Amino acid sequence: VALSDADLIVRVVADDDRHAFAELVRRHQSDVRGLLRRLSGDAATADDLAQETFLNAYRALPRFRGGARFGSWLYRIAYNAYLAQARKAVPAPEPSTAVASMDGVLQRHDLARALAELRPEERAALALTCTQEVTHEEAAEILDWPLGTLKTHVLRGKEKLRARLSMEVPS
Amino acid sequence: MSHEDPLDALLKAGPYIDDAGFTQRVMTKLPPQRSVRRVRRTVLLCAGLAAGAVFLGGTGRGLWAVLSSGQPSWVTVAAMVMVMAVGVGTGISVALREAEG
Repeated sequence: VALSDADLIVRVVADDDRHAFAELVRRHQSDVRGLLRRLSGDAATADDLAQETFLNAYRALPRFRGGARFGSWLYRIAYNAYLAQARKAVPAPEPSTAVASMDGVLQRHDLARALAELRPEERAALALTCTQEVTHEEAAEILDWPLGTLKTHVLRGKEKLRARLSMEVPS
Repeated sequence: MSHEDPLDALLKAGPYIDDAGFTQRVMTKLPPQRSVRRVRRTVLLCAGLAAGAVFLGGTGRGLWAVLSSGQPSWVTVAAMVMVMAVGVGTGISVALREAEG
């Protein structure tokens, strides 16, 4: 019988059980790396941040209260790691109109690229609520925003993506 | 009949990302296990205390020689006491810091 996340966490905290922690990493690595890929737009950066996320989670695990889902708790650590990295990183140059028009057809179908052009807040809101299947309430808690702010960023992010991907608003 | 928003469908989580050694890489970066850390801390603490005792013995004998010479220079005595304190303190704190690491 597969142990639950909660059982694995107890083993890690009580006995420093490395097999239990490895199992937690294996279970959640895809979601955490996926979220960070959406946020950073780069697989290598995302993997470095994901590694940092799990190391930070290991250190903070004794303080995990179990009130939230373990996955949501990991997302919060991942988002903080991303924010810290984004503050240090040199901002990428804005894509020029000339490049965008030359590349127009490709760009319409390139969700990753369209996501990268959103404001970081909009990207984070969409990455959590749409791709990771986290509820709006959970996402607001992870991002430490009021629920209304989160919903605004989701709405604006979707509007911009629709415009960039030339999609119509569903009726 | 409800249709899913095409944007929502597009945004839905991508395919499962294969582990491809990721978990193994994380595990190699973890700090040493608690039991290993405990042994290392004990060994380093003992080594630090032993080094401190040896240092204290050597400087202490020198201090005793100065004091028993009859005319101790207070500057020399103060310097030796300070050297002893700094030496022992540094030895123990380095041992503790290494063990914590």
